Amino acid sequence: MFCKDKTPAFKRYQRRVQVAMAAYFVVILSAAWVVKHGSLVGWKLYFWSVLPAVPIIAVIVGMARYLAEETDEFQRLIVTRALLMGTAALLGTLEVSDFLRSFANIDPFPPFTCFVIFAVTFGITNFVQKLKNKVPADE
Amino acid sequence: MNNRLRVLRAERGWSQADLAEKLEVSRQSVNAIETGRYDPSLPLAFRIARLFGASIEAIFQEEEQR
Repeated sequence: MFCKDKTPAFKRYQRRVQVAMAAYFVVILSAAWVVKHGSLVGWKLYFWSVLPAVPIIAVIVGMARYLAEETDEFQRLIVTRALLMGTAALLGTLEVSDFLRSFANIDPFPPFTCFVIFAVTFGITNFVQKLKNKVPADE
Repeated sequence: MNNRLRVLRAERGWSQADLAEKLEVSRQSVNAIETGRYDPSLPLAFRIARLFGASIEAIFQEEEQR
């Protein structure tokens, strides 16, 4: 969706993602500092380790809310396709990683690889669809 | 699926943006329907038909019927 043609649901989704990402940067920097300097063990270490995932989960929930709130069915279809492509890439990567671990005793992929693959595939698919559906000047 | 949306819109002197506003969808959606890249759902097809005062069949036709 190009800037001049955002639906109200998409604007709400963008606001939520901006808030979640701002929270993410605050939390990830705080967690990195606390874990490095806090000598944490036990539940405190688990708490600070899991905390950065919360804003990311909020982004995923934001996507789900967008799909539920979007009344423009064509725009919803575009985002749904991108989510499916991202999910397919994510699951494919997990499968490859799991089989490599099972049969070849290879170490698992580095942390966050799967989510990055999901996000990149989602973004590329969304972008390609926007280009394909770019509207000419109005008649 | 073929449709007469562009013709009906032109007859009324509406732009794609005008039609998008009346249907409460984006201009991308109107353009995708007009160019046949997207077939609307039944509820949206009914909304389009009501707006133009025509039946769905008068606006949308299966390709082999043309």
